[in-house]
Amino acid sequence: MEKGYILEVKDLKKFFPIKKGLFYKTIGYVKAVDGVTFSIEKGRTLGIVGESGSGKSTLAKLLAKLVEPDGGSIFLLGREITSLSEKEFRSLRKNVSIVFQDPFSSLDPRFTVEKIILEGMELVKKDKREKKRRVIDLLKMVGLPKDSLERFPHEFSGGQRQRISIARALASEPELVILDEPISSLDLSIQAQIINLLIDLQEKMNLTYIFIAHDLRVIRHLSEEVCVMYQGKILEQSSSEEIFNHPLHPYTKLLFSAIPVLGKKRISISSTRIISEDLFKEEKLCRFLPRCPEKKDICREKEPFLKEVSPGHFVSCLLF
Amino acid sequence: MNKDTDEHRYLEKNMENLLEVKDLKTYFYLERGLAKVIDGISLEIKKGEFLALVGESGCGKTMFALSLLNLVPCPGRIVEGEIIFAGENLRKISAEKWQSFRGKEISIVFQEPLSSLNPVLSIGYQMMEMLRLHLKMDKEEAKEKAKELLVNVGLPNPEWILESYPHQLSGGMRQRVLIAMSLSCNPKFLILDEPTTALDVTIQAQILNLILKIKKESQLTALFITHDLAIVEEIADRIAIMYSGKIVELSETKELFNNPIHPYTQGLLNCIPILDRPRIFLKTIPGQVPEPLDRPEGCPFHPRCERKIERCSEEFPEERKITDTHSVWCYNP
Repeated sequence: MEKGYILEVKDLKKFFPIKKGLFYKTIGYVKAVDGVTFSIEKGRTLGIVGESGSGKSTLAKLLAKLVEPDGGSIFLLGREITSLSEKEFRSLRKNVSIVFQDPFSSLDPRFTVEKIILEGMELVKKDKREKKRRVIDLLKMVGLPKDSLERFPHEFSGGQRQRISIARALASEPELVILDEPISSLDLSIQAQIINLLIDLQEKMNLTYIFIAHDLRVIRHLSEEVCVMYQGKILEQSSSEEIFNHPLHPYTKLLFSAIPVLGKKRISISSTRIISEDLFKEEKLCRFLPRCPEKKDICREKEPFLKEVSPGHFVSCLLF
Repeated sequence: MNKDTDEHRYLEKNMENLLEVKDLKTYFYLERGLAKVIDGISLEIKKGEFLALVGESGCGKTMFALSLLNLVPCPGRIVEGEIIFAGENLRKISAEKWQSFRGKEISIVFQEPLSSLNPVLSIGYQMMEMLRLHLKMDKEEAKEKAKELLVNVGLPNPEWILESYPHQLSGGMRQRVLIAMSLSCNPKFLILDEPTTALDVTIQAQILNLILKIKKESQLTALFITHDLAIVEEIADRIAIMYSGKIVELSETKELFNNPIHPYTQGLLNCIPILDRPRIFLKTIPGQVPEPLDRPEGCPFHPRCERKIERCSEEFPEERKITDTHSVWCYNP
């Protein structure tokens, strides 16, 4: 492992079987994550963008070892974790936290806020009083009133609940925080509050973020490095600056042209029409082929792979 | 792109109003108290105009749409106000009349395309039902018309879609089907309630393009409800900003983006991340949207407002005209 990487992922795969019929026979697989490779340095933010069904949430769960992969390897702080048992992983568990999308279903309704945050510290060896002090510190850090301790999740609004989730995620003093669409269920004025909070916490605690979202504006705002995912594969990967200014892959271009931006006209993309993409089963070709506006004959012959076209800029497209 | 049509629409200042809402109040009588969900909204929509209603969740924008259709769910009801549609007072018409009114004169496209289609009936059945009921078509005619409508909203292979069931279609296709259905009886007025919110960005862009196309090609009048200011910029002729059951700013689209007056509108515009300037500290609106049950007295925005003065907590301000097409409800703009 090279120095400075918090997380390295190599050729990660997760397939879910599709079962059908009387005997529940496996008739195929949904390739939710299909050969994903990336690495991330300490204190940086990697943004993962993709539409629904691109496999980004499955990737988040794989990284937190909440589901087991079907192939590939994950190095967390230099240790390979996919082969570890749940027991062996325990000592490393506190280094990774995850914040989920829906702040309503990710908090136990019968736990007080104190208990919720304490649960995040279960693997931390500290005495009770110290832990309680830490809970109060965390509440202050995420901007919740002190009297929240004894209250239950239903007494809070969506934005405040997401603050509780963030406090819980930070409780074990993790190195890496996986943020799985943390703001997409919130109102616009609350989204900005949470974005500010996340940037502030990252700078104070030198956190490493993996930020998963479908909103490109937010990805651009937060991340230094961006991966574009489509049907389980990374199609383009580069620094945020480079990818937003010089998108190369036709899918990235399509995605970026669809962002609603104030004061700028969207580029009309009516030339691209979706024709029931999920019916597409040609596995050995580019996944984006049916929707691609720039496809050439070569695209029907072989499968593209992620290659470096300029320093640090990777594209999986046969046109480059 | 549609600059000419925008100006064209605005040249005809004397165009008649298709819809006039006067001091509409929709209250919910809950056990815990009275929730004034719509608290005195007055609004006019001209023939051929696209008006966008923008607000955060819980501000009452969907209830406003349901009030227009007389579909407010129990325990809520319209307690006051008038809704004049094409010269007719909608609050006075009978339940039977509503039957022939909804879908034909005014139709609506809801946010969640999966839950607004019946899962056990084919798309064809659901589309043809409406055509046969309202336009008294026979089966063959209805089928032809349904196919034509599907082609118009950019769906390939209409035969297959008519025979399929909602779960077989993708989110974007379902939303197209719903838009086709809502346009099937040539309504005078279309309500689009967050039609793109549940969709992916690329699909959202396609649906927006479709709505723009419909706007350009027909003389349709529409109310476009959304929480995302960025998407209405090219669609709406005018924008109404709603907060806690009240309209706080109403303006012609360009004017609103160039010269937002109300502190809430300014706050909303500041909250949107700008692509060219990553990682800057976003200027936020402190606090959160109040629950409908405990809305503050006076201007509902005053607890979050930077520019509040004493009067703000006492009484909701009167309309203040900035220009002919720009009004704001604020004491200290």
